[in-house]
Amino acid sequence: MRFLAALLCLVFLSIGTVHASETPTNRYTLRLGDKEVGERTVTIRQLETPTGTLRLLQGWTSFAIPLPAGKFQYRQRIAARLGEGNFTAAIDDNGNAREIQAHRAPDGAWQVTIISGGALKSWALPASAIDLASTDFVDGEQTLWKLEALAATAEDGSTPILKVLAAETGAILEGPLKDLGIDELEVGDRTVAAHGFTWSPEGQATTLWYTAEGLLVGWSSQVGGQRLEGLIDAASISQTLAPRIEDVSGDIEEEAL
Amino acid sequence: MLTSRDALLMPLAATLLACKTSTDDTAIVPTEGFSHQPVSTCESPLDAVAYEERGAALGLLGGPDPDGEHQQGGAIAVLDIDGDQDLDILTSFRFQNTVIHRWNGESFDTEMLDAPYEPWNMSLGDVNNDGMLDVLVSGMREPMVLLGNGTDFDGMSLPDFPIPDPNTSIAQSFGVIDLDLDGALDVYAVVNTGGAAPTDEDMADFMMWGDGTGSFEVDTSLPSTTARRGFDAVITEWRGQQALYLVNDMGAEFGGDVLMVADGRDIIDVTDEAGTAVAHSGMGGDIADWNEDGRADIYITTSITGHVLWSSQDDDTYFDEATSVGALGIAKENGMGWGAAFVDYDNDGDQDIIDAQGDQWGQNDPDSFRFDQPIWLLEQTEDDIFEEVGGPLGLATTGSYRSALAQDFNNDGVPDLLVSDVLAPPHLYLSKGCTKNGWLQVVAPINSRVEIDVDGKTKVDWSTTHSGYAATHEPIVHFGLGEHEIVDALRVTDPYGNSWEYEHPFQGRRRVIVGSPAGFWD
Repeated sequence: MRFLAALLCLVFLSIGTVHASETPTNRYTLRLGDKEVGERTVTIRQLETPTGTLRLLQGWTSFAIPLPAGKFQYRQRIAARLGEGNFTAAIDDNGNAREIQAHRAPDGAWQVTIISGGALKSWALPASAIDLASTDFVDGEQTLWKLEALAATAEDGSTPILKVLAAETGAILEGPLKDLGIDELEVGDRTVAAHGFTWSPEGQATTLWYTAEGLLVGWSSQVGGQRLEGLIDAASISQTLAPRIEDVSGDIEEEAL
Repeated sequence: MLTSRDALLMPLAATLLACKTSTDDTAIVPTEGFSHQPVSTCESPLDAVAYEERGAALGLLGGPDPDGEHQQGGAIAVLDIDGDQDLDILTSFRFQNTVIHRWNGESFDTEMLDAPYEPWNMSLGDVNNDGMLDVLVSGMREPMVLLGNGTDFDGMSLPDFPIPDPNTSIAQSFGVIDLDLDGALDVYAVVNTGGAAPTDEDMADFMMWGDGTGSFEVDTSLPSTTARRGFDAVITEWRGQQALYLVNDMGAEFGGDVLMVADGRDIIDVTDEAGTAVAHSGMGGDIADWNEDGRADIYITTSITGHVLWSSQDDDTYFDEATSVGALGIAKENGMGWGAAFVDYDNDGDQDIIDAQGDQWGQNDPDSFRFDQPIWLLEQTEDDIFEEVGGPLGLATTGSYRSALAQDFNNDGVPDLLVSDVLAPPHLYLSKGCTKNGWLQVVAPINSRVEIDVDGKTKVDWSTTHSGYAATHEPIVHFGLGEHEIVDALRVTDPYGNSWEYEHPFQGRRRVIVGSPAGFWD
């Protein structure tokens, strides 16, 4: 049970497709150790509206992992309005369906709803109860600076605590946040500089890596003694980040003097 | 209901829920082709639906013409223009360009488009297959397409029309339908000659076959029975295939209504087979399965003679039940029915009717009448008859009304009502709150057949964008569930035969999106 809880807490991202084909979709490969166990796709559609930019997340996560009791299969679909905290998630784990929804009032208060086992439960929470929804982790443009700011409070000797509403369970997960600084990740044949953070709710550490532009490159966690890892695909990172110098050098012509 | 204190226990509780094996789950299972919006819970249900008229107060503008010339004003289109997940409104009136009313969260901001000028009618559809809804504009001036671009619109001309004298004949309205099933929406142009003498040459309707890029090929080879005084094209279903019901004005002189189907690009008049050869002064029509036999019924508004309620029969013919069930829908002698639409306003599971009545006023017509008329909300009772209930619910008003539609503007699950007035700002009747009755909204590809199973019964509706005379909205189907909160199954079949089936029970009070309908749907 604890294994499942930890695993579910990891699955904060999701997927789907949109008809706006020009909106890029990022694909992440999920691995347990060296074995590929599933994937996650994430699309963030940006809409310019008269009142500002609207950022709509759609995601789909699907994986299967072996357990002593048999195979555990998990599917999740999420739609979210990033920045506002509003999201709706549909989840199927081993044939059990549930939905998690969150809605934020203009004053920041949260309304969280769970549909499971034929029952609907809904409750209100004050704005201060939650720092982020787990759907926000994919939105590095908005989340990275928040993590940086929170982690920086450790400089005065305190332990920064991050409270996250999990789109997988409806639970509020609370744990210390640590800034890992900048490191390099290998994505295909590319080396990507990324800013890392470790967040450890209930002692289950999750590590997140973002580029300076706010792209979530990957994440990982220790689960049941195994390392579950999600890493962005090379094709996805190429469509998001600027091309490498060696990739464009052939198109650069020497200017005539 | 959980309290915030309970919520502190949710990490464990939610995990237990997640691991519980249940045979009565009502959560939506993640399924390709289906997405959903959050359940809208109703914490403090009203005892009954109540409306408050807020149109002008929220910024809706009327037209500048104090004489309100007949059909030259009052067209409305409702859609999310800019993807901010709320409904905006387009209006058109005589002597002005089309106006956008953009919802800003508290009221409507208005802006006048550069074109078109005083269109008479608007219809929604994605004619260039870019995933965004476009607005097809018809009327006295040059018809055109407003191509949705995600923020507002890019204007685009339509092909030259095969109308000999554009000073007397016009494209009154457009039916948006992929009639030849080639994957591109086509446009059926309903031609009206105004006061001109009828001849086959200048009165025939015509097709514009779309190619999916926004370009059209004009086709004038329609059956001769379409050469009548056309007013509205209603997208419907007959014998399991999509069909067009043409509502014709002054039928006694020029010919009655026509029902058509298509075989490829061959258009076939099936009026006699369906028994819908009625001659009247028809204005517009809307469809629903009001008698719950799984087939489309059609409600037609008319002037003077009373409305028509075509109830489908087992042999695919129709029988007019308007008189017998109390749906004639005209309050005064010489009154006139304009816009009307089916709506289950109280979510009790029965189709009701919003009926916008007006006058026959025409500046150049010495025989015309001018007096105020009511808006009626005809509620279907348990005895399958209709009773006017609008007054007590907040619709007690009179004016010169034109088009009518029902959409959930304030997202409380109770259909709100938008009714245009040729002389004044549109009336927007917003519900004052949610009620105990359940509901479900389904967004589906345009002109799909949508079925849900609730408590052992199957309910059917169609995701057309048409809503009677001169009104159009996104392809959203609204079902009232009565006392039920759970939908047992959902099935959608588009005009091409593609079908989506979701056979698990799920919680209602929400919007479900099926397939990839045009518009800003997640």
